[in-house]
Amino acid sequence: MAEVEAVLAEALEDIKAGRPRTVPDYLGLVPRSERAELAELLSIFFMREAVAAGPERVDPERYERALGVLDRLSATGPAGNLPAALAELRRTRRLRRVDVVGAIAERFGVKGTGRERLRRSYHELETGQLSGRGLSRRLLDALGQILHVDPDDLAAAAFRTAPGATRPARAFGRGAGEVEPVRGLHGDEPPRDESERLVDDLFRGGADG
Amino acid sequence: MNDPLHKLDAQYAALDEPTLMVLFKTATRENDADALEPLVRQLVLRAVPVVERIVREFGEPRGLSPSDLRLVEDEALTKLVLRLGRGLPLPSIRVLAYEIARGCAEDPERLPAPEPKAGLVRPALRAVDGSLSSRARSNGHRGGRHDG
Repeated sequence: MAEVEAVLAEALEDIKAGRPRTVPDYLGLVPRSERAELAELLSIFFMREAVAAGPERVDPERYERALGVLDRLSATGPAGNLPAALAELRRTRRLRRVDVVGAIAERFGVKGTGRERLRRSYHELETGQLSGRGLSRRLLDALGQILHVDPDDLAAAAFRTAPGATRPARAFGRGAGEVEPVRGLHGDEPPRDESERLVDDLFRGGADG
Repeated sequence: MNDPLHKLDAQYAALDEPTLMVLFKTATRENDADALEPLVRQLVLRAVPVVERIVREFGEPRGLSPSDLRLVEDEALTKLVLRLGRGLPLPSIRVLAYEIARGCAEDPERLPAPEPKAGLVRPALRAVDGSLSSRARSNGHRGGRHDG
C-alpha cells in the first residue's frame, strides 16, 4: 500500500509538472498484486483513461448539490463573488456570522464601539454592499485563516469582473439589481474612536488599509 | 429567478475533458471572462466524482457523518470554483480536485458534528415484547378494534 501511495504521489507530481508518463509506466513500479488498486486510482487522474472508461457512477443528488453551489457562487456584485463565497464557506464549516466577526475582532483587537461597527461592516460585506477595492489585504488574510481558504483566492474573487451572464448578489431586503458599489450603510459616519477607525481601515481602506 | 446558465454551458457540456482544458487555457490566457465562467462550471461538474470519492475515502475514517461529508464536498467545490476563477494555469482538473478535496476532508480543525442533545433525539419507542399485547388482551382490547 505504501508503494501504491508513493507511486501515486509521483504520478500526481508528474501531471502537475506537465510531463506525465503513461499509466503502464507507473503500474510497472509496483508489485503485480497492487497494480489493480493503483490502476483504479490513476484512472481518476488520467483524462484519456477516464474518458475511455466512461463516466463514474455518482449519485445524481451530488450533481444537484454541485449545481446549487455553482448557482450560489454565480452571484456577483461590487466585491465580485466574494460575498457569496464567504457565505458558502461559512455554511460548510457550520459557522455563524457572529463567529466570524468574533474571530476577526480577536485577531485585530477590536473592542468597544468598534465591535458593533465590525459586525455591521461584515454584514455589509457578506450581503454584497461593499466594494472589493476597499478591502484590506490583512482582512482577506484573516478571513482566509478563519475559513481555511487561500486568501489569494478570496482576493481574486473580490476583484473579479462580472461577465454578462452573472446575476447581482442577493442583499437582504433589496431586490436583485438594486445593489451598487457603495461605501456601506455606515461608511459616511466618521469613526468616533481608534477601534472604529481600525474597522474602517480593514473594510474600506483598500489593500494597504 | 434569474437563469444562471450561460449560452455556452450546453456547448461545453458536450465536450470531453482534454478539449475543455484547452479551452480553459485559451480563455485564461486571453482573460475571456465570458468564456471562463461557463468553463469553470463545466470543469467543476467534471470534478464532482473525484471530490465525492476523495472526501468519502479520507473523511469516513475520521468519523465524519454523511451530513459532515456533504458539507466537506460543498466546501471543496466552493474552493475549486474560487481557484479556477483565478485563471491560473491548470495541468489537470482531477489533480486539483483531488488536492482540494483531500485537504478539506483531512482538515484537523473539522471535527465530526457533535451528537444531538438528548432532548432533541426522537425517542425510539416500541412495545416491550409480549407484555403489551398480553395486557391489552387481558383488558379486552383486540389490536385497535373497539368492541364495546
